[in-house]
Amino acid sequence: MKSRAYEPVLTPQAEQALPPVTGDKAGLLADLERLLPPDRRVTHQDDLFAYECDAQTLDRALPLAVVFPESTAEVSTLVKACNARSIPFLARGAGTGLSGGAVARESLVLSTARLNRILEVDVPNRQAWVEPGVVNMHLSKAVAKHNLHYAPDPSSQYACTIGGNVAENSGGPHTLKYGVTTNHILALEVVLPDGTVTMMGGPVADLPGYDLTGVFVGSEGTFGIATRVLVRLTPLPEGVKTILAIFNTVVDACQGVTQILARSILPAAVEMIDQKTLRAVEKYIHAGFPLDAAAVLLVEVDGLRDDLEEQAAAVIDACRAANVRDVRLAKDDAERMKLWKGRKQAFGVLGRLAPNYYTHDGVIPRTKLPEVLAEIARIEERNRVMIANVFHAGDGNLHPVVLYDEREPGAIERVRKASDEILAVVASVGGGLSGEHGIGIEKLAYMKDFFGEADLAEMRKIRDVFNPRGLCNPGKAIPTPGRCIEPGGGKKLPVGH
Amino acid sequence: MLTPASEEEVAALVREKPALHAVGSGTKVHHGQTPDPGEDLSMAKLDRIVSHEPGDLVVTVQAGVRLADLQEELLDHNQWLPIDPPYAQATVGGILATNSSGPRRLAYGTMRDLLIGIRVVGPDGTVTRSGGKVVKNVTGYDLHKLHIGAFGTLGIITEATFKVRPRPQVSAVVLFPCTSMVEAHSLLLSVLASSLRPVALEALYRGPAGLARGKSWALVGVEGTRPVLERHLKELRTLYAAQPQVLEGETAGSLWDALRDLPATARESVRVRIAAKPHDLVHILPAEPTWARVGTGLAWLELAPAADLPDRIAQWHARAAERGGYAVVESAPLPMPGREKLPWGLGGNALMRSIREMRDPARKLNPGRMVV
Ligand SMILES: Cc1cc2nc3c(=O)[nH]c(=O)nc-3n(C[C@H](O)[C@H](O)[C@H](O)COP(=O)(O)OP(=O)(O)OC[C@H]3O[C@@H](n4cnc5c(N)ncnc54)[C@H](O)[C@@H]3O)c2cc1C
Repeated sequence: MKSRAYEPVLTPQAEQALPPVTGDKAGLLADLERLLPPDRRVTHQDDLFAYECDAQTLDRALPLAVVFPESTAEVSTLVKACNARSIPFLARGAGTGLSGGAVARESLVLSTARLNRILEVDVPNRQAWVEPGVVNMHLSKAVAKHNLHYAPDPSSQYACTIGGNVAENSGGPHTLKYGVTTNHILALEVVLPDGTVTMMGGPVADLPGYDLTGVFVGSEGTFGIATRVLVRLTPLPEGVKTILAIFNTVVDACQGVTQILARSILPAAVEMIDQKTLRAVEKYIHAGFPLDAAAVLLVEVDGLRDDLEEQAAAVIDACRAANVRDVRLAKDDAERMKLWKGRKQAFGVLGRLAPNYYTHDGVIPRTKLPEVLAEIARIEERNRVMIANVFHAGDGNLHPVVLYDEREPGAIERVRKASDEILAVVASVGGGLSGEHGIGIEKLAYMKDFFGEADLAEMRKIRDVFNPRGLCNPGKAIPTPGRCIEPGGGKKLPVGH
Repeated sequence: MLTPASEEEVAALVREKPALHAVGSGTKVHHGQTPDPGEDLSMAKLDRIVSHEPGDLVVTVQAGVRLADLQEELLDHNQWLPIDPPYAQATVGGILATNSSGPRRLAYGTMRDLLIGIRVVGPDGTVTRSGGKVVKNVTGYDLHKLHIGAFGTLGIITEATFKVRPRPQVSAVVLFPCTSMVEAHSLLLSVLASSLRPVALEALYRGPAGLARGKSWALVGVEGTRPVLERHLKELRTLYAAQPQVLEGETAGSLWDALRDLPATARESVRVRIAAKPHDLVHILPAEPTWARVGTGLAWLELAPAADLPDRIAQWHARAAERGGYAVVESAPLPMPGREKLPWGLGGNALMRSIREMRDPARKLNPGRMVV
């Protein structure tokens, strides 16, 4: 079948990071025919469109092929074939990534969809070996009968995979208390970029040697392909209390966060939802949020039931000290679930407010929340864009969502300028470019604002130890030196979640 | 002893000297392999708390800051860095480089859970950093993880940033006398499996200061709020025939310190660390370890130096390895005949060796100290 001409859609920075592939593509396609049955390889252009991008849809390019390995040995064989043919490759989980990490221009995509077994659950020692394609929430559901769960809970947990979580070092609302992915990964079996299989970490404490597991987590798929993951399981909390605090100004809500953190408690979650988001959520979900509030905080305390009243009272007290208009405890599980549904689906409903939106992921010291949120409001006004804020306030992890319509003349330019200004504010208060979504190909241009060239060079050198030929997910996470990358550019901005 | 007073001076010395051994307070010079020749570089003058914004629950310190001094600064704000490794005078840099921790790690984790940013001087004198001052961050690779437990072989740590926590309102130790180590283990494992949330589960054979010697003890550490402590006491009292002794306040404080300093007491012996999954540990332990961190799956033996130690440790290691665990030497007197024959690590692997080769091809930094 003759394929129609295909042009990838890539911003200039992505185009630079992902140049056309020069290796022996025909040779690799022939290898795939020999190595895998037809139902475990996708090579026709029409079928490849589903793998053009992840949930960040600005950068899109067709892979050469997608394969569905079922074992570590198969992953290794496929990676060796890529090496022999000089074809880049990457792993793909659920494709919910938000920084273009899974864009595989003319490369081989190894889907982990068939590496989706929970291999072994060790209940007494609270750990489990799983394959990387296991969906985050499936793991928690599978171990719930043992009163355990896998603690990191990205809002995408109904779909995203443990392998993707490992690559991105993903977080979630409850990581304020429980930590992010890296705090829950004990060991990894990895197919290194040359196809050899290695083990990092282990089931026991304080293994002598360098912490390879620690540096692999968050390497955005550029250090190899995780084929088995040993995760830590955490007991489910005995009790939970959820508090809704309603504020008349965003700055008051930010003060509320500061006040809560100043008490001797560590809430499980402190999430902020601003008015634009509240209204959108209420329109579609009816979570019970007040429409006239400038912002609400959704705060959760959990743990042993004995002091939850006391903790909840401390949270309420803290909110009162921050000028709260009204603060109340969810009365039952039904109300609690409704509030969380509103929070977890917020991005989905924001998507209905405008044809396009772009989510930032900067993270700042928490005491800077009032001034940074005030500055974001000024940026919004100055650039005549619309920005909604729904984010992990307890961690200082902002998610300003810039809403726009790409067809409107000048909109893209205004959004881009607002974006640059937001990131400049994040950098100026000593923040980080990304709290959980990763750099991918989408944020490469901004890395120089957060790290010096020597720091980036060191990161590249470590990557090159793992990935010396640069075939494993090339162009991602760390910008290549000597190329002056322009942020954004091109026709569109990335569309976030 | 070289005594730089700033990061620039550290960098200058690294450029100039062929081989250097970074030293904090020197509390753990007997840890790790016998070093190859090199000059000692004291980090003691890099002793500044660089920034502490209590509202952010984040603190940045120079590597030569002693943990005790840092805790004192944090105490003023009712906060602490939730780690309790041995030796009150140990420096932050040394604790990081040896991945040192203490009994409360069961609840609060180790340095890899607390460290969020670092600055290091590389073997060519270049200063690099990773992470930052925010509690959640995926900007760039987590290179700081590589320096934890690396004995300074990948760079000299000059500055570190940590997450801190509010101090618990109450802190107590619940003590159960036991007739054997095995009994202590099974009691502690039943606490681990219960709905309780202890911060430490320790089994002791030789009691530390204040505890009768020659007896086994099971210790349950509890921290948090008063109601949580009451709940623990209530359930712990029904757990076991013999009634426990409950220490709170200052008496608990000195027992915590004694537990923390267990490794600091026998510098004349060879200390072996055995690791297994918590429920496997008791099955692989040789007779009477010194103490065990039961909830974490670690135990220590303190042995008199002897020629047959490498063989004995190899046998323990083989038993542990069958279940995914290991036995290695953690510390030994300096000097000691045959010290170099002791099993100081697990031999590392190709990837670790490549990282070191890339980072420090001339072996300038803490040469000889660590096997990978
Ligand atoms: C609605 C929505 C909400 C979200 N909420 C959150 C949130 O709350 N917190 C958060 O952190 N993120 C969130 N995300 C982002 C995303 O879900 C996470 O980054 C997630 O971890 C990606 O998992 P995935 O399986 O979809 O990975 P993919 O998108 O398929 O891949 C992501 C990266 O991981 C690599 N990778 C995948 N598997 C492996 C493997 N086995 N070995 C090595 N590398 C691998 C890929 O090469 C790619 O670079 C959200 C996304 C959406 C769409």
